[in-house]
Amino acid sequence: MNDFKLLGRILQIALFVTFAFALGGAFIPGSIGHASGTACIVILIITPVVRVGWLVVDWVRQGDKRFALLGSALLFVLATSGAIAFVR
Amino acid sequence: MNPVALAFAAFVTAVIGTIGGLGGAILLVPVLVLSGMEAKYAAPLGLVSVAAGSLAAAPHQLAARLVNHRIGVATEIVASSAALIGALVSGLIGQSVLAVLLGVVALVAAFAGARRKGVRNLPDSSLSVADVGETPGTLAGVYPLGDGFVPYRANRLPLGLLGMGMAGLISGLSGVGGGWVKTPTASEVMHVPVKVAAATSTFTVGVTAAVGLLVYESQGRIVVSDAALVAAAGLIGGTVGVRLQHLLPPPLVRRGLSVILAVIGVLLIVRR
Repeated sequence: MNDFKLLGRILQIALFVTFAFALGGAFIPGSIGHASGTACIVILIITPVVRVGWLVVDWVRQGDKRFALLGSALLFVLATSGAIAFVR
Repeated sequence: MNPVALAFAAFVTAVIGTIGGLGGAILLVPVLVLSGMEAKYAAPLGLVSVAAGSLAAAPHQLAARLVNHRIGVATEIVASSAALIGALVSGLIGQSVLAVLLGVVALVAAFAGARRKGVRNLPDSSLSVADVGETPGTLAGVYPLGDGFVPYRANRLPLGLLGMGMAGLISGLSGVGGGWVKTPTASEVMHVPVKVAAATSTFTVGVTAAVGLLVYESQGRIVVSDAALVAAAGLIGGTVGVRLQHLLPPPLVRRGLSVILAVIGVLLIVRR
């Protein structure tokens, strides 16, 4: 069984931290506000990728190799998309 | 756009986007452009709203076991690959042609959702709370509906993957998220219950938005203070939206989704 409780708790913490950084980015002037807003965006980018990585590890543990492979393929597609976007 | 109006627009579109699994960018970006913001700055804010709504909805949807990650991952591979192809060839298709294409797709999806009556997947009295969640190794699962538990299975996978590929392709071509195509595809083509389809779509649009934001960040198109404001409003909107999604009956969600898609379709065609 997937340990969604732990993943949910991690995402809940990410949610609160992102919200705090977002408020800082929106209302604190100067470089501190900019850094806070940037941190918010970075967390928004990283969180879904971490979630897919978590699923892959969990499916490997469950012995669900077919979907673990699909999850890995998705991470590969995402990495390739990001790399191509940067190169272009 | 003034900050209060920006925050309000981001909040409302995140609520609607999370309830219907639309993502919200398809609603927020036109609003921002209509208010006078340049499209190249509006598109990243749309994706910030999508990513924020997806993150806000995740803890609640995980606890309710509404998301089918296996369906999400299996379909997102095709959608993301198609989005990459769409982004690479986006310069070859005129914006007017693209707007009409998007409008027609939205209207077809609205019609498909509106013409169906009742609930396709019915509760099974032999199931209990212990059965809720995904079935390992398959594209099936059980989700809670009221006091009952409803089994479902993704059908017509090739056709569904074609729809998801189209969602990815038009997402890559247009720069808006593809949730407004993904949810009707999962619901009406693959016969996944609309609440599971919307929750799964909310997960996958977060993945797509992450890649898009990476690209926009590398291009320096994100105005950090505006993005932070949209993120804060989107996080609140996503939290409210996911709670409303839990309370609303599936036919109401589906009909509401059809109305929104019809409005989007007409706007896209009229404003091309």
